[in-house]
Amino acid sequence: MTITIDHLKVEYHNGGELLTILDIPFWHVKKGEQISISGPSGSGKSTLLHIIAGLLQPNKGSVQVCGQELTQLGEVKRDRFRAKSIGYIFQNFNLLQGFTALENVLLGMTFSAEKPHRQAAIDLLKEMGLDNRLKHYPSQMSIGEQQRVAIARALVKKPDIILADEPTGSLDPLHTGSVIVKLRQACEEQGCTLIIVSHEKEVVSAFEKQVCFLELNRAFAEKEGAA
Amino acid sequence: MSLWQIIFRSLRQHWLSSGLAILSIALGVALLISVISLREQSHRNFTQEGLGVDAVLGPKGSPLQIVLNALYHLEEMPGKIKWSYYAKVIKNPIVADGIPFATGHSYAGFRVNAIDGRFFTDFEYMLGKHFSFDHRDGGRGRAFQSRNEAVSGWAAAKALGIRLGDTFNPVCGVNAGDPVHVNDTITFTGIMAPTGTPHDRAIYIPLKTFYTIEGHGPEVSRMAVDENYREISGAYLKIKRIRGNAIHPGIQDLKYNINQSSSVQLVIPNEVLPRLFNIIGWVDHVLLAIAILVTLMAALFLFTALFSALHERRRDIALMRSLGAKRMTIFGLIIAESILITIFGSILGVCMGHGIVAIGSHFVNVETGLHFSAYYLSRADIFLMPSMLIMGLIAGYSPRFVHTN
Repeated sequence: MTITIDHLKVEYHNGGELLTILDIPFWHVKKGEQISISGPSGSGKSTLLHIIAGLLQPNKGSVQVCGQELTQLGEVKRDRFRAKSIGYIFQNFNLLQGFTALENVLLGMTFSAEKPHRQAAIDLLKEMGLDNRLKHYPSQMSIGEQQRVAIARALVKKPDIILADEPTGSLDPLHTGSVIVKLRQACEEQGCTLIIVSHEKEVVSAFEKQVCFLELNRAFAEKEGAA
Repeated sequence: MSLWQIIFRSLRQHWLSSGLAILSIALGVALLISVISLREQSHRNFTQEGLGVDAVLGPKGSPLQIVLNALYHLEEMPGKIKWSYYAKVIKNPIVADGIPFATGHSYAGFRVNAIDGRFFTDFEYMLGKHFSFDHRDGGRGRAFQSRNEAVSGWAAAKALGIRLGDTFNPVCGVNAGDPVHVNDTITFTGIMAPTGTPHDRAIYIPLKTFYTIEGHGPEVSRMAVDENYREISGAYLKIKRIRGNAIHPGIQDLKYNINQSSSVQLVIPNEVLPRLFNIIGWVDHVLLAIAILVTLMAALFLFTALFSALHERRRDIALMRSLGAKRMTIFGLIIAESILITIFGSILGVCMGHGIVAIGSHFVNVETGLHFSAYYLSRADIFLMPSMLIMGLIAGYSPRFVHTN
């Protein structure tokens, strides 16, 4: 198993009130699987990705990722785990504006244990069709090109899991299709697990395994039901 | 990518806020360095063992006026003293030597002092240092040997373009419009090597020339031949030393005895000059306070600039964290950036500070003959850099709690 979640609970105190954001009894994802997750805004999808990435700690439950029990790891070890095993893609690409496309991709390797390999970064950008954009800054690239740079950055360190949070949210339908195809191809080639969160039906339906977050997250389902 | 590349990219990306922080620090440091350097060098210049003079024998009047006239070639001597009194004083067992002089002439804005020829051989303008005419030291020619010869200080020669063999006619007085001794043409035979003292700004003629210049009248001419009539403006006195090269304590008795006279006084420069500093000390303190305030403002700006730069970079920091950057790595990046800004600002400030001293020293030298060095290392140079680094460290450390979580 790549990911196993057991009795996960994330709660926040809002004044005197205890808000349950996530309540997932059980969920597992196998190595190399490609899964799309859909669900309404604010249902906790991004929080789940943050927990899998080790950016957030749940209040209760167990989160095993790549054989590591994240709830037992200290912050430094979780940082190390994330640097090595997780590739993260954001809706707004989050490229550093002061860095070129190539430098943004190299940054993906900077914090991992692996030594930054310039040629690997160049090759990956070429695979993404960005041969002539290596030295361009994000502001000089189109939105589709920026997202491809963000994908290359996530893939360059050969992570075990790619977590993509609304990766096509800012793209037009034409670019959406090509970006998803490239992302899935690259994950297949590298044998890494892909979990993608999206609102878009075309994106969600492109995956064989689809998860409706309402079913996964009991807390939100209960809340919706109550409403 | 190395962490250094990330830091430099970040500095480049936020060039405006980084540049303004660097400039603010530089201005604060420059002001502090220049004020402290000029302050320390002024103290040193005005207290360097009375410019080789333990005491000045002069007429009754303001002791400060006598010191300024005798040593700094400023002001005017309040009167004259009898040669016989001088002759009596130098016979005192604690007086090692005396060099008489007569002031009151000038040439092209520079004082022309008539002085005993031993000034160039026996006088020490600083401990163990005699005047030199050696070209290797920057001097030229030789000391005067006859009535119509003169020697120029280095700064005066440079300012007036004096060459050996040039001639001049001294002005009787030190003010504009004073009469010129047109019948007394004097030739420059030597230019003294630079000493970094006010002596560089004077022109020297033989003491006897003073008495034989045409136009001074028969009474003055008589002084040349008859010591009973002779008068001088004053005399530089060298007092004997006791153990540890300390001035003989008898100087206070000598001063007391001489100062009983109604026409003569003994002035000890090392007592008078600190008093002058006390008078103008408040200016010094105000300048220092301004410099410290500017530096504090620069520090505050550094804090603000870093906070604002980090606020802009919150997204970048979050991204780096998601890429696996440890909290300490992010903290290190912030600290390094802060320290780099401080180092760049401090280096620029040190260069600017010494540049200000270099420019200021030129004007001070022209006006007073005092030598200020741009290369002088003040206490500010020694303590400022570590202090600024600590400040940069604190400035970088404080946003940690706000932004890296």
